[in-house]
Amino acid sequence: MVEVNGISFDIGRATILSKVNARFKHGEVSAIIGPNGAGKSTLVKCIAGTIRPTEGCIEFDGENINRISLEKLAIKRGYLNQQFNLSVGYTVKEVVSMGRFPHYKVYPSKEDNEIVTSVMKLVDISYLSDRNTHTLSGGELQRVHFARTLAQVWPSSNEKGIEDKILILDEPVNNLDPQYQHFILRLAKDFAKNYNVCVIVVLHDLNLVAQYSDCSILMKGGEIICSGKTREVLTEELLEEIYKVPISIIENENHFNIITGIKYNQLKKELIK
Amino acid sequence: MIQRVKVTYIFLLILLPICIILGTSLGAFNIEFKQCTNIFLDLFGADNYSDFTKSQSNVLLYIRLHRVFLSMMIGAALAVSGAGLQGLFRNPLADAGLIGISAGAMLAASIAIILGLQFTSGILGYYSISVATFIGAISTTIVVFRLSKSNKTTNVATMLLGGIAINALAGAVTGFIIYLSDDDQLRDITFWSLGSLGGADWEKVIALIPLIILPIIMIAHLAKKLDVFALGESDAICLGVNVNALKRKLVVWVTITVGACVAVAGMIGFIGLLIPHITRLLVGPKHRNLIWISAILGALVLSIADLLCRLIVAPAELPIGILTAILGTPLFLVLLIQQKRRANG
Repeated sequence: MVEVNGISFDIGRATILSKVNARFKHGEVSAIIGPNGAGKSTLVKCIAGTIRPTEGCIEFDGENINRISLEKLAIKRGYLNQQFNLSVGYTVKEVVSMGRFPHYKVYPSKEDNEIVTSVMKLVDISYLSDRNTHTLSGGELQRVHFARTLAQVWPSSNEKGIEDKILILDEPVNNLDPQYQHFILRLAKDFAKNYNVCVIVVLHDLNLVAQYSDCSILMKGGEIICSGKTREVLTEELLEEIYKVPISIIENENHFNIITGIKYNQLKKELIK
Repeated sequence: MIQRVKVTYIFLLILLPICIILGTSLGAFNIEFKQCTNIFLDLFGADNYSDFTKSQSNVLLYIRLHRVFLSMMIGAALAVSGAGLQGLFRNPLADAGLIGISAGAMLAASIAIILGLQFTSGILGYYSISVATFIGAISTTIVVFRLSKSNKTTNVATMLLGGIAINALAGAVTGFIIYLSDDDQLRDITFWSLGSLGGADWEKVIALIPLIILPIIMIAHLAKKLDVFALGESDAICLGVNVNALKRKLVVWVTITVGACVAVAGMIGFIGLLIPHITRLLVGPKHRNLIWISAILGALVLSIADLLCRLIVAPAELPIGILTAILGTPLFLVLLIQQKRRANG
C-alpha cells in the first residue's frame, strides 16, 4: 500500500499541496483527477520521489521512501513523466531497455532482454524497434515511454522483498488516439490485477476514469475534495461544481460512463425530436 | 548496429599502429617506413633488422615517438571529456571550455608567463607553467561547480551560466595581464593559447599516463548512467541514478584530465566537441561505445593533426590549435547542416 501522510509542498510563497492524505492499494487502479493546477502532478512527483514534500511523508508498504535506497526504489516503482526530452536520438529499443537499467550492472541479462521484447510487443511498438525516437510522432513516443516504465517494474526473478510494485502514470493517454487510450489503460488495469501492482494514474478524461479506475481521488487547489470508490466519488453534482461544465453520468450494472458538455436529459430530448 | 560498432572498433584499432608508424617516420629528418618498422622490431628484440642508422633510431625514439604518444593520449582524453560533458549537459555542443577549464588555464598560464616562472630555477623549474596551468584549470572549475550548487543538488543550467560568467571574468583578467606584458611575453602567451605538442619529452608522457588513463576508465564507468541521464534528470532519479554523484564524479575526472592536457599542450580546440559528434554518427549515442570509440578516434585525429603541423611548414611547425580549428570548423559546419537536413526530412 502507498500511504501519503499529510504532505505539503510549497514553492516560495505559493502552496501547491496542503496537508494531503491518501491511500493507494495494490491490485487496483487509482485515478487522480481535478482541474488544471489542482496539484495532481506535484502529488505524483512526491509519491515517485523525484521531489521531496516540504512537510509530511510517503510510505511504501509501511516504509518511509526517504529510507529506501534509490536502487531499490527504482525496482519497486516506475514513474511515467508528462514530459519527454531525450537529448539525443536513441533507438526505440534502447529507450525501452533503459527501463531495465536498475536490474543489471553492466550488461542486461537474458531475462531483461526478454522482458523488453515482450513489453514492446504488449504495447504494440515492436515494429518501431530500430526507429530513432526523434522521428516518432507524439503518440508513438508516449507509448515508447509507457513501455519503458512498464519494463522497469515488470516482475522478474531475484527481487525478494520488492515484489509488490508501484506504477505511477502522469497523464499516460496524452497524444494517444481513442484506440490506444483504451488499449493502454486496459493494459495498466490488467497489469494491476495480474501482478498485484498499485497503479496510480493522473487522468483528465472523466469517461476513461469511470471505465478503468477502481478508486478515485478528486483534487482542487492543492487539497483532496473527495476520495473513495470511483462510482461513489464521481457524481454529477460534485463534478459540475468542480469543473463548471454540464456533466451526465450513465450508469447501470455493466456500464459507467461520463459525458461532459451536455446534460443527458437534454440530449435525450433532442434525440427524440 | 552491433555489427557496425564491431567494424568501427576493428577499423580504428588497425589505423592506430599505422598512425604511429606514419607519425614516427614522416618529418624533417628522413626515415623510411621500412626502416621505421625495423627500428620497432629491433627495439622488441628481433634480430637481423638493422638497415637503419643510429641517428635515425635516435630521432625516432627520442624525438618523435613520445610526441606521437603524447598527441594520442591528449586526443583521447579531450575526446572522452567532450563525450562525458555532452552527456552531462544533455547537449551535443558542450565541451570542456563551458565549465571554465580553458579560461582558468589561460589565465594561470598568462600569469605564469608574465611572472617569468619558466626561467626561475625553483623546485618545479621547467614545469612551472604546466603546474600553474593545471592548478588554474582546476580552481576555476571548482568555483563554477560551487556556484551551481544549492541545497545539495547541482543545477546543470546554473553550472552552464556560471561557466560563462567565470569565462568572461577570467578572460578580462587575462586581457589585463596581456596589457601589462612585454612583446616577448605576449608572443609566449599567444603561442601557448594556440597549443603545441612541441615540448614533449618522456617525463611529460609518463607523468600524463595516470592523469589520462585513469580518468578515461572512470568516465567510461559512468557510461550506463549517462545513457539514462539523457532521459532527463527526474527520469534518471526514478531509474535509480544518484544524479548529484554522477555530476560530481564526471566533473572531477574531466577537470583532472583536461587540466593535465592543457598544462602540457596548451589549448587544443575542437577535439572535445567534434570527435564525440562524429562518433555518435558512426555508432549511435550509447555512451559505452561512444566513450571508447571517441578515445580511439581522438587519439588518431590528434596524432594526424600533429603530424600535419610538423609537415606543412617543415622544418618549422604550426601551432596545433590552428590546425584543429581550420580542419574542425568546416567539418563541424557540414555535420550541423547534415543534422538539420535530417531533422527536416
